[in-house]
Amino acid sequence: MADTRDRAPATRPYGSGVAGHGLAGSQLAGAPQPADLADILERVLDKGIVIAGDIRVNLLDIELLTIRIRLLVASVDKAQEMGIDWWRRDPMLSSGNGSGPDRRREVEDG
Amino acid sequence: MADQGSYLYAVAGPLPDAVVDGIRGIDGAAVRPVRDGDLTAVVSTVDLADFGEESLRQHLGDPEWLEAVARAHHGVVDEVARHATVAPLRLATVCADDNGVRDRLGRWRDALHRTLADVAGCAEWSVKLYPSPPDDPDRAGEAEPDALSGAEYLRRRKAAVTHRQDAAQTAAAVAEDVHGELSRHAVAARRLAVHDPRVTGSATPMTLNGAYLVADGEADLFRTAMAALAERHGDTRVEVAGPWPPYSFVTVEPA
Repeated sequence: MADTRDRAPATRPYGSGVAGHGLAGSQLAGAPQPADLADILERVLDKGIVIAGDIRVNLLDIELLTIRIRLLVASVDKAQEMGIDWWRRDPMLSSGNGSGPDRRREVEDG
Repeated sequence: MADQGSYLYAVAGPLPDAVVDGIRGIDGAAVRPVRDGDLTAVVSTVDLADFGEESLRQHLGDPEWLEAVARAHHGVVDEVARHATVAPLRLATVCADDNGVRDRLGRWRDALHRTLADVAGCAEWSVKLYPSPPDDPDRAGEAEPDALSGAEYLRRRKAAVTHRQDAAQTAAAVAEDVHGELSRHAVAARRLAVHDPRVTGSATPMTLNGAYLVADGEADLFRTAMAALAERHGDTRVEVAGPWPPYSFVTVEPA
């Protein structure tokens, strides 16, 4: 891989969350759209570096939350429409499908 | 305890003030750099009435609050990623103050440098696959059982099951093929957990939720490869999203 560090473009084409952009002729989702909430939640809740802050919710709670989020990641409105508004009533909704969440968790260091 | 804390969005190398000037984070707060040596944390002040441990726990159960904070978090990370290599932090990493932030940077210096080097000059791309719904031998096994002899019913039933299994195997093989091929065009690749069908709204289950770390200079090649794969597997629906900041490739894995 070439060293890309010096290239450092002033502006990278980030952030559009383009769906199917530039992939003509295949069955891709149509128009460009803003980054999907599902993708954002998946990444900000379950990915990214974990640095123990001074204040941090217990990781087990985060995990439980992540499991639940997986059920409704497409959109909150849609989840409500579909009646899986677990936050209103069910404190222990199971993940409910075979694929299940990714159980790997990062160790909290510090 | 003070009633405000320092919320971390991302860590970068040396970062000019100009990059973060004007960026607004959670609750519209101004984002600022907090530096320790050659590392820069991107930070804003949050109210501990919202981000203290107990209130955070409650807030995380509120989808509207969660969505707003998640979008704000991503917005800041995304904006900084336009100008610099970043290691995004997971949602809701809060230190008591900026000294706490510098302390973390110092303690994590080596790991942060490694991570930043890993993702330098790269972006994350997301590729999701959904097979087309199987055609209808399915139904043949289930419709009008009364009209069929027992033997014929069982034969059709068996054919339907076989058909479904074949379709599932084919879909899994397509996912393998796509993931394998895309991985060759990526610096790193991960298969993330697939999303639940109840929320994807798709008639068929997602078979691949791939994340690919692609060098900026290879992005066109990656997309060309993706287009060829989409062509090869014409009955599979493909969703490509990106470029993303490299969320899925800065994860600290258990030792």
